[in-house]
Amino acid sequence: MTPPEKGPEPIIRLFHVHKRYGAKAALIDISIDVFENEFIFISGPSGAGKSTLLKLLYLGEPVSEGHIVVDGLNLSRISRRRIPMLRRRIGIVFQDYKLIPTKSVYENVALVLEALGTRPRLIRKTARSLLRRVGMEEKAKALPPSLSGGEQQRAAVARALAGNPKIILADEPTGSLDAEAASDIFDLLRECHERGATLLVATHDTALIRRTGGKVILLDRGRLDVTTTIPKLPA
Amino acid sequence: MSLLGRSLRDLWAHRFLSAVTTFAVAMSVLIVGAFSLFVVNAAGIIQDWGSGARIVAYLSPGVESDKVPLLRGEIGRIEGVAEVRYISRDAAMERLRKGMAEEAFLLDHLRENPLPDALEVSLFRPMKNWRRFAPAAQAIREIDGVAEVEFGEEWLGRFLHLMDLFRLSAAGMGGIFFLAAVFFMANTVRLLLYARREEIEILYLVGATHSFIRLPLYLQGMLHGIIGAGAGLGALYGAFYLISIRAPGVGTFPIRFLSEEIMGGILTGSVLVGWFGTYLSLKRFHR
Repeated sequence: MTPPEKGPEPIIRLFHVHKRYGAKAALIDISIDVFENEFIFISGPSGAGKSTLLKLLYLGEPVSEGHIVVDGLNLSRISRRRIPMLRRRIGIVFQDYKLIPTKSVYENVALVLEALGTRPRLIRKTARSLLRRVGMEEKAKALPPSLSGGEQQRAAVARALAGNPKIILADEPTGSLDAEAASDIFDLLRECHERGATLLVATHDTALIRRTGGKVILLDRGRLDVTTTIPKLPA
Repeated sequence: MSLLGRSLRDLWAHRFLSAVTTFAVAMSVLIVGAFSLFVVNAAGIIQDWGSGARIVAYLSPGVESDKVPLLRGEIGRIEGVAEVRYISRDAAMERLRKGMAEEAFLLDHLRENPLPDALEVSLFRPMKNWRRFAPAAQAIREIDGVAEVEFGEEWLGRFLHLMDLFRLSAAGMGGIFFLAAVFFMANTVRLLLYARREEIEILYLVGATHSFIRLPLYLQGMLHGIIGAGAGLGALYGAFYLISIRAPGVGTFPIRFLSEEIMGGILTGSVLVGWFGTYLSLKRFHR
């Protein structure tokens, strides 16, 4: 008798996860499996727990109850010293970009590479290549406050890609952008997915989800409402 | 980029706050340094006053001059005694005449010299051996042939009390100034780190390790300490130079700048304060 065929291991696994802030429950009993190279939207109204869910994945917040495993690391048992190891496997894109305002676009990207211990010559080459990829090569010397929202988010995407992460988490990446800039950023994220990354994008922009299509996890007041797949709208 | 390179780059990127922090250190060093300068010179002046202190042993009237070397030898063997000088009654009268200057003519009416022969005893390093004066004087008093001993017991008591008071207040004030400097420095470093908290949080989020983030900050804190201490000591030397041109000394004591040991101590202290201020401020960024 042959053993049953083993399926692929999820790259992210949430197992009965609860998150509470004092008496207030932000996430209630969430169990999700995310497999390698999936592109998943986390959607729901404001306060549904989308951002909280992403924060738990990079240990921006600790879990109150349950277990999370990210790329083989059990986040409930991870030591403080190993948290950087987890974060190096994840690229994060924030709604408010979180670029260092006193450093140029190039320096913001190069700093991540420096933190990862990349050799100086390779830092220059990789940072330039990343900025070229997001169309920001000509603004490499600019300081973030002098850029438009779309440009800042492009720089933030370049920074998120700097460590060549397996997983990209994007928290409302188009929330502060106009339609054209939002579309550009989304195209960039899709490109990352095509290159093999696993993407979790928290957004309440249903038009964008419909335009792109894909797996959607819908949250409502901290509970998993539904997991569904929305087909891409015809162009 | 090297650790030092990154630290210097960050110092330049936050040059205004870095300048404020360095200025805070310089001011603290200036205050502590000025106080140290005062203490060192005041102690030197007091020491200078005290270095002339002697024990005078008046010999009994019948002591022959050939017995004087024996007495000198006996006194010279007492612990702490550095030198014993014989002052004959004639030499003492001569000193008195010089001391009285214009009133010296009064002495001409004396029928005979009323002053006794005496031995003038000085101790090794009188400032460090103040408390040996009384036992040494007692030992001299007990020697046969010595009629009376005088060493300004009352004056010495006051002097010792003054020195004790001075040392105590110097230590107390120095401690207060040092704590104030630490507090001042720690809060300024905290202000600097507070301004950079977003940057530090971002670095944590992108996977930078504690050491990658903290080592340059510690190095910057220590650089603030070194540069600030250098600037503070430089300013203090400038002020000292201007003062010493006008008033080079008090009595026979030339006022002097801080010793290399004290300057080294201030520099080391400033570096430690920079490190400690950074440590205190970073504790809140633990995650």
